[in-house]
Amino acid sequence: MARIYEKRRSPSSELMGSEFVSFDEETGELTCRYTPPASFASPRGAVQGGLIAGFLDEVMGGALLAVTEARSGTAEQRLPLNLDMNLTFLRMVPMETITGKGRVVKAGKRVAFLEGELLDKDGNVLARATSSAIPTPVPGVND
Amino acid sequence: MTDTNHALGAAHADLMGVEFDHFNKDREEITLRFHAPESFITPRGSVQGGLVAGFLDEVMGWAHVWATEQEEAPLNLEISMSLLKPVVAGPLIGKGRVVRRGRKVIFLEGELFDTAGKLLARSTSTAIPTPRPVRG
Repeated sequence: MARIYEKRRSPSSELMGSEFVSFDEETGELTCRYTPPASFASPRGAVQGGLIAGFLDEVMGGALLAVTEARSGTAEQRLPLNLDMNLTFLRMVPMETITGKGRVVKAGKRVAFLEGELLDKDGNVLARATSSAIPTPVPGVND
Repeated sequence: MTDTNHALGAAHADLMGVEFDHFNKDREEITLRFHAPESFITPRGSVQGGLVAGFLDEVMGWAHVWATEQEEAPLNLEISMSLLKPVVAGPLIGKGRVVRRGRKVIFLEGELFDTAGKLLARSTSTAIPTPRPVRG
């Protein structure tokens, strides 16, 4: 059975065409692919800046799930409840498949610090994010 | 299409159900109404945190567009946001303001409220002013 971070977990991950690529236990880095839906397009013909955060949140959240599962097992998986997010936009995000990489900087009991980046097919960094979040149990999983 | 429902033609604006409410010229502050779609929802039952930035970007961007008589639009360099309360699917109100409008760099801020006026999220943005993109 696929692990929870390998699946599309929600309407939001369906919307963004989320696909699991790999998880590196050593570095705690999760890699996913995303395909922006046509509805994300701004008049510039690229993904609207704010909505870029959707992909980054998705991959950072998946990284926390994967890292907490690898560390302490399925029952101790944690999903981030974001307190804040900082985004840097380096290049326009095209309306084509992009790669997201998410990492856990620190997974504390009360606060988790996450980071993520989006890359185009040539490996250019398009956008970066950091997030502070409260780690919570995964809704519905341990109920 | 008129200038007051300008946003309705863009794909991302349709997705977020953007409607113009009003613009305060003195404060360079715009008020927009949104409708958060079901497709933004996570297993928590609320809008995915990252996607909240979609609404905030929209209000901040339109504040700049209106402040420049529809001539310019911001190209974001950076957005920071704080998520104070969960945003649920349904109607929302956004307020965006120009904090400082320079020739090379502009600073914007935005807030997102529920219909009872409770603050759900806030943001700031640093952006470059560009001529408004023409839709093809």
